[in-house]
Amino acid sequence: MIRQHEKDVVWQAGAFTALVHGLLLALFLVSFQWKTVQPMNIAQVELWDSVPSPKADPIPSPPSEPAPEPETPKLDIPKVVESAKPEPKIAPEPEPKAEIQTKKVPATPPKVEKPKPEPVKPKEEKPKELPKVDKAKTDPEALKKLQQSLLAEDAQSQKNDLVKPAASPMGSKTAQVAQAGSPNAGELDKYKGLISNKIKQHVNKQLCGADKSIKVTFMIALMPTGEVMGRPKLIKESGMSSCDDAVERAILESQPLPVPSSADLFSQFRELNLVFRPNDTN
Amino acid sequence: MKKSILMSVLLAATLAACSNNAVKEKPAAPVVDSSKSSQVSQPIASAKDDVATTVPGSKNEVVVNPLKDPNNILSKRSVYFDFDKDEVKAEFRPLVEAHANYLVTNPNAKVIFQGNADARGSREYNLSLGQRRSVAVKKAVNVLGAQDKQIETISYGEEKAKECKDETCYQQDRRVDIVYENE
Amino acid sequence: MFKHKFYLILFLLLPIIAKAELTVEVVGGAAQQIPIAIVPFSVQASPTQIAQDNISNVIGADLRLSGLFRVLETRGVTSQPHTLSEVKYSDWTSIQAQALTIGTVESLPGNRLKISFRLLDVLKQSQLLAMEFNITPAQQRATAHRIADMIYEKLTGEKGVFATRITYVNKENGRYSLQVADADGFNAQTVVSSKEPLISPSWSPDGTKLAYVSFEKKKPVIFVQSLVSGQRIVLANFKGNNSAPTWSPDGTKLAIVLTYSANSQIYVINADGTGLQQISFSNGIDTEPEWSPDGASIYFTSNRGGGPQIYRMPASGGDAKRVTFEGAYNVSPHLSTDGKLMTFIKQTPAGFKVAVQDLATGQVQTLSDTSQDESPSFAPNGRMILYATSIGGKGSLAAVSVDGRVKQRLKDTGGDVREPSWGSSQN
Repeated sequence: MIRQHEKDVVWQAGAFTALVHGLLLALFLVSFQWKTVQPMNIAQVELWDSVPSPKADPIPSPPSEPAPEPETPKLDIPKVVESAKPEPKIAPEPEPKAEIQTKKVPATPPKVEKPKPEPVKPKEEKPKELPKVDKAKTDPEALKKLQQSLLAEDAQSQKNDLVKPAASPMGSKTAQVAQAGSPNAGELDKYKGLISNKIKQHVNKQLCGADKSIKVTFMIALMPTGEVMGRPKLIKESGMSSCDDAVERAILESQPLPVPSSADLFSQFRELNLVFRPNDTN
Repeated sequence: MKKSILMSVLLAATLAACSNNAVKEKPAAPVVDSSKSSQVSQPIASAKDDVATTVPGSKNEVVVNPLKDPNNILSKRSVYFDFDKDEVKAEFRPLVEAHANYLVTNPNAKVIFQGNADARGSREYNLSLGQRRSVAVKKAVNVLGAQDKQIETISYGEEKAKECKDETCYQQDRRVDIVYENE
Repeated sequence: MFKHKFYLILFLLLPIIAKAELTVEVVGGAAQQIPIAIVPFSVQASPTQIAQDNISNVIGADLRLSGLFRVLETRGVTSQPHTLSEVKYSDWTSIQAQALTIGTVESLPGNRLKISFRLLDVLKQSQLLAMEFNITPAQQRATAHRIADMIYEKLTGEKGVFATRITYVNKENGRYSLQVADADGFNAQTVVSSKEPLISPSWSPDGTKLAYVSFEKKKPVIFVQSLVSGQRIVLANFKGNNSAPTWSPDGTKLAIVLTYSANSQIYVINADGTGLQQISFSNGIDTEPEWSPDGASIYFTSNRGGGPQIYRMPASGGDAKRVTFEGAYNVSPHLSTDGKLMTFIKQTPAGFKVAVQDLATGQVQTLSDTSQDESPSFAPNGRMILYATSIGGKGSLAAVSVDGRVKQRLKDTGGDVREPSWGSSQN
């Protein structure tokens, strides 16, 4: 039974609650926006090396696009690459050419200086995000669409979880099948292939014995830069700790991993299950 | 370590002493060579050897030891073999027969057939191969009447082989050496 | 009202639910070596105490010999850390090192030394190993080998072999000497020396004795000598040849080859020289017996089928099964300690070469790039094969990794070296 005193403040309480919820909502929207804005210089080098995309508009309008809009979540690869040039934000910044030739060198200093760029990033992004947040707030329709697409993805990923992604290739297959219909399927596969190929080169399978059935599974959390957040998490051991260590080193050595630049796609790569069969042949 | 050196020295000394003694007993018995293709040039003496027909005044060796006579096939002491083979080839039949006859006519004579192999392959296998070769020569002289009690077969395998680069060189190492006691 | 709240709650929970967990499969790998940097240990001791070779060089040479490590050049790196606090990981990632070894050598009272070392994971920026040794100056090399073993085991999961010993025969100035040395060829000591040939040394399983064949009696005779006391016995001096001794895995018997009954045949005899028993009966040459690690079979060379091939029979004798089928001449079988691989000498058009056969699949791989190879034997961890070959007209020792990728020549002894055999881990 609501007492008299509390009855009076009910509406204030309600308003306050709504406000807090709204703020939280805003925060979530903000956090989603983060990904789309990243000028991913280093990651883009990987993209270039892999596929000369037919969509390649070589030099459309580079300097005039510092911040890709949320309305165009699917970014053309070359466009974003070009935008890398005028934006040397992340600490050591050799030219794109140098980046292609000496892949490793730029990769390592950013790793060590992680603490520095990270606080820098949010500051940089925030001024840009505000206009978007406003837009989102004033656009409940777009918001609902976002909700629904995210919920749809949840359902799918839960399905995948039930099929035990750690244990079977079926998990990834159903994910692929489920997404085959969507136009992103090709992109997803491409990035999965890029990631797989890059890490594979670093897997020292000599430390994994000769048994073809040996399997190791790691889960990694990825940042938009392609770097691994924290440490890879060992999900399934191979039974040989030297093999597990070698695989973990391969993952770490492969940073930054090639990840898509669009929020939509990247969101699927934020947490990856990596299943290794080092002694197997395709 | 010192012990083993001392042992080796003592052993070597003992062996040397033995062989020294043997040298003094070197016989100069004449030989009856019934081989068809023999090149005997010394007078044919009595076949009965047990009568010690040593030349009086052994220091004046008028009779040339057929085993050492370069004109005598008996001075040839090596039988050569093909790679990884231990068959005595036809071309060495005369030589083998000559030595067989020598043994038959000199029942006190003792001979060692030393088998060798070229340096290729494993030492142990070559040791066995050398042994097979020396046994092959022994069997060949057995057939002609020579007794086992006069014959010893040993092998050096590849231990005496040279460092070779061509077949002519390798060929030289694939042999059995015929060495008479007290030589 | 409830509906909206539901969506709001979902939003709150999104970070937890919305894990689009893609699975990426990585099949296969590139066979690589672990790049390791070994910084020369700092030395705070008198020059007389310190070994000529910095400990880091011995460790590096050991790891390189294994074939699983790429030992990086550290001279160009600006920082040369010796303690953990001096380590700047970025220096080491920039030369693509995955592991780093640092250490110090300090004087202790009583003319002793303290060796400290650390093994660090450069990628994870964490310490993997830290150890201290209190030793005499004479033990420096042995300590370096132990450190190399520890690093090797930590990173590969396999037992290291750098503290093991090898034996071989050195022929110099007309003399033969049977020697025992460290696995890297250093610290050689003579076990027996002779003017006549010495061949076929064989380690007892506990590493305390060597059986060998000596021609000192002008014929091949088998001796068994204690490495501890220097005492030896004549194991076999039967009529004819006595050779090819090899120990049973439990150390109680040896298989030997006698020509007692004309052809080389295989016999088994107790380690004290009693209980002779013939176990092979063929008309050809049966030699080079080698017990399987489980003691159940004996592998051997036989030319019963024409040319020499490798066969296997039960350890007590019986039906022999042929094991090698490629080529006309396969000899000198030696098995790895896990019994899965067999190394041997194979005649190829290019000469006599070390090869390895997978006993389960029968697959054969020729390993060496030299052509007058002899006497192959496995390192106790099965990863390397030690053998003798001829380089420049002189016998030399060489090692090749079991996948053929890494080939090394061992330290030159100065003489003509042959008949190597790798000791077991207890050495």
